[in-house]
Amino acid sequence: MSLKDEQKRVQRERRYPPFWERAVPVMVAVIAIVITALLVIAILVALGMFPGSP
Amino acid sequence: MEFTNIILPFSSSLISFVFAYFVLKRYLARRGPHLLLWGIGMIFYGIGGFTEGYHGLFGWNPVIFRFWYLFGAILVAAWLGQGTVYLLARRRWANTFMILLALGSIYGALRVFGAELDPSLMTTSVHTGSEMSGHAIVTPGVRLLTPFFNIYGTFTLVGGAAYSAWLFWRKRVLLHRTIGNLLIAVGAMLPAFGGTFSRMGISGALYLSELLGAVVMFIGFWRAVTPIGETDAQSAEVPV
Repeated sequence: MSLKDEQKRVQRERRYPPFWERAVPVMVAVIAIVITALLVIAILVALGMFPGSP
Repeated sequence: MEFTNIILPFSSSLISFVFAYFVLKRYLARRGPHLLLWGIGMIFYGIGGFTEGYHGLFGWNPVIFRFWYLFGAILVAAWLGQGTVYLLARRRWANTFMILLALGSIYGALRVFGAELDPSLMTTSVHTGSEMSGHAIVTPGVRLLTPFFNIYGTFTLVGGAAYSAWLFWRKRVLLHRTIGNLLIAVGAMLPAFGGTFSRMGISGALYLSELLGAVVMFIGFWRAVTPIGETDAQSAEVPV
């Protein structure tokens, strides 16, 4: 088995506790969606197209 | 009203300065520009909270307002985010963005301290009137600076923390860093939500969100640098 294959095998065997196995990707996805929304709002504010724009 | 306008922001300021102390202490021990910039960013966060509490306690002061707007509204997110850029990006790119941020910050300071102010405009805006608001700035174009700095700060700080958490999760290593980065991302987003709720007229939303944001980010930082039953060798692999 090559070193790379061995590294992949070890990586596959690693696991977080069950809660974090599921929670982390969900939280990252939610954060990504929220960041996108905040960035869109900030851009709209900069363009003067949002309430409270300068 | 006293709790909302005085105690909340002063509490936020105190926590921010304490947070900055621990980050800068870690910087002195380990070096790393990301720690220095996070420490500076949290000092800015603390200055923002202090000026808000000062305003709640003593009322309008043009110098305090300018400090609030420069450090609390414009610079804090971008400088915190720049720390994350140094952690995740190649040094050449990080240095380039640092130069741009420094020049932009100087420009922002000149515009804010040279701007004409009208405090009566704060109470006539959609804001509750009890919180500080950039509507007091009369000079055109000054408030337009804020979204650019905040866009950069949001993308780098929140996005960088979420990306770091994702990387650690993919490799299934350093769980404490994964959790810590998620908390830092959430904490960094809270003031943005507070600003939005404040615009809707919900009193105290901004100051409460700033306090919660500082607390959650502090917990996240502590979690990220405190291994969960892992070896010192593993935690020493990734510099934070």
